[in-house]
Amino acid sequence: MKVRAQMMMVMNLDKCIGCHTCSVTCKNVWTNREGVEYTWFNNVETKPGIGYPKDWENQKKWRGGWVRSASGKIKPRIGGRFRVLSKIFANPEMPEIDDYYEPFTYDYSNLQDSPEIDDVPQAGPISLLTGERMEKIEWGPNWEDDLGGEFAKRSQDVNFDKIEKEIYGQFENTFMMYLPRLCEHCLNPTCVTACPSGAIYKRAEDGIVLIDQDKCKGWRMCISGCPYKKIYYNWKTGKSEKCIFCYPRIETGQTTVCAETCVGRIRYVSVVLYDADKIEEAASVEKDTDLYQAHLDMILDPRDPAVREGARESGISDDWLDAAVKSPCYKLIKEWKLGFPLHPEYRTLPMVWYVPPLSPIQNAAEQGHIGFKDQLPDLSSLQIPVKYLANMLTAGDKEPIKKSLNSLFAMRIFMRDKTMNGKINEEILAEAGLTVQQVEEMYRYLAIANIEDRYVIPTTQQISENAQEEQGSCGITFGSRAPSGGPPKPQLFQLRLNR
Amino acid sequence: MDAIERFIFVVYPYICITVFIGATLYRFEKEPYTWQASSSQMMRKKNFSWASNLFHIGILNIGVGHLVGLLVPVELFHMLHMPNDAHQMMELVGGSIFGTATLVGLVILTYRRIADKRVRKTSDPGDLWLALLLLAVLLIGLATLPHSYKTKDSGIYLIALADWAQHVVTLRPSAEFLSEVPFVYKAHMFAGMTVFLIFPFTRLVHVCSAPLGYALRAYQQIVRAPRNVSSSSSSSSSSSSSSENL
Repeated sequence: MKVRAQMMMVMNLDKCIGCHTCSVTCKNVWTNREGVEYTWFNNVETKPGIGYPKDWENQKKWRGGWVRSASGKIKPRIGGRFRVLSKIFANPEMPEIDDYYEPFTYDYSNLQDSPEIDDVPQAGPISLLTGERMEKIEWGPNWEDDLGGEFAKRSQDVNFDKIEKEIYGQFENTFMMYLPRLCEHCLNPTCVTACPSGAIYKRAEDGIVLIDQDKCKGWRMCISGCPYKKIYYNWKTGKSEKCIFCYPRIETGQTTVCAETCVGRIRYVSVVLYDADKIEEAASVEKDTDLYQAHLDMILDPRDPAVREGARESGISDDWLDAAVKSPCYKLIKEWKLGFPLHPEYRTLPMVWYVPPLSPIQNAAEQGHIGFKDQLPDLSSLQIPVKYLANMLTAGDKEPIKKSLNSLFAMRIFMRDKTMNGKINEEILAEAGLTVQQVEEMYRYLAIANIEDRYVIPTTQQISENAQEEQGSCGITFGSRAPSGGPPKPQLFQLRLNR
Repeated sequence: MDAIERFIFVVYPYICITVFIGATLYRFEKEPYTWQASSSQMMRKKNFSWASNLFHIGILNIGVGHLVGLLVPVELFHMLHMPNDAHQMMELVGGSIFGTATLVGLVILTYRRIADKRVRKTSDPGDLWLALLLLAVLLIGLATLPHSYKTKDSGIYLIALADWAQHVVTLRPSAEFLSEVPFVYKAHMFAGMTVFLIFPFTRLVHVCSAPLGYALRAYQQIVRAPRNVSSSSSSSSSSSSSSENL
């Protein structure tokens, strides 16, 4: 057993209101620069929809993630080492800018500078690539917001696999949900494997996946390797960039910007411990539907004495062990089994998990009653098909999703009975297999969701002993690297980076 | 004329070699953030794939061809029972095939860079000048082929050029080897040496980072331990980066 710590995130989709505050604050902090205008380290998609970039979940097209071969070994879906090298001059699986969208601003000055005309002056869109006026915006980072666009296009969503999707195009059967997405900081990242330069690495101390900007040579294989399309090519610098899990904040015990600013309090950020020796085994299980359980089994109990001993051997400090014990993510995914990884069938063992959303009971009024099995609602009458959620979160296995939804329903019914009628409804808990204590804790974490319960983030162990001396010596520069002291050096090469 | 020729074939090669090696090393060490392939594939995929492949495969083979043709001593070819005419034939055939491939690829890529607004506006002006210089070197190089064909039995020009190059790299430069060589070869050599001169200041440097080692790398996780490890933690984690087989 090799114990490692991973900083992870869980999102409670039931509470996501699709306000995009996470995306906007992230953008303002990290990608508000030339070359990455089209880049959203965090974005929120309306599902069903093809998403950003277009059709990213369709791995037949983009070939991201891993595949398990007949011999039981996994290899990147983009191909082995020689195929990757042979495609280095032109990568056939790389999205074009139009697969994201052509970034644009608006001609605001025209509002003031326009000569006197009969009509109201317009601020027309201007491309940030060519600097020219764009006639018509055809696509954007969030074109399908709240079911924008026609159903025929949105229903290309691969999560409709094995679902008779036509009926969901009818108004009374329409459903939608929000899916905020960022880098998954996988335990078995394909981007790391695909990088010919070896520039992408996983930090041992907290599992954050980063790109060494000095080592990256712009071969662009990571963009194809990542099945979540969460690595972006900066056309200005010729390097790849990705979500950094706000590591400068995490190191000082603060949560990520997207989580900090989340209006719906849906995000949980904390440490979990996992067994790094089991990575290959878990990622190579035969059936896609077994991947969720294999992944879950890798997550270790931080109260187990053997695990604590192993963690100390790996150099994990007591601060981190305490944080792992108090970890809300651990409770949500392991103790209560409410959360699931996004598309476990990609076999990258992603570490941003999701609690599936509840939805109204379909056609309740028509039937004159709400579909109940005993006291819990009949999940097959939910507006969002369970199979759709299962395709997204458990490689199509409906049972774990049903269990999670039942727990969430049971919690609601129990708490309503308790606060409205003063009744302790133990039958419903028996039906969902929960205890009173569990439900009350779930309520505290999911419904109240206080900030200290959502974010349990220990500071990074190694703090420089010379922090005071280093103050002011490192920061944003225009040179090649952060200076080790003094003002930025002038740069000799590729002056365009200076402009 | 003699003085100019002597400068170009005796002094200029050393200027080019010095700048080529020195500035490349300096940039690699001091400015790694500026070192990249600068692909414009993302801006437009149309016509990119085959043009880029033709260009890269062509130019790499031409590069290897020049290296072998110029720097391998003629005696070695004789030892391998390869007479001069076969040597010359290799140059002709290889040069024609890969030269044409490079030309087609480079013309398409250059056209794309000029004509496609997105590519033009998002690329560095230097990229276009570089493409035009390479195009010039290539065209002059292809123009030498008829001369090489004329001497295909003796290969005298080829041997003269190889003699000159081998004397340059062994620090015994002389322009006299080139007295019989036609002007078009000399023009090609001057333009070609200029490519080496500007090499460190352009995106061409990415050829030095060709990730050949990737072919041997395991499907690994690359894990980096924290950089500033305090003295109390275990000594095994002091290395800044380690790899684990998956």
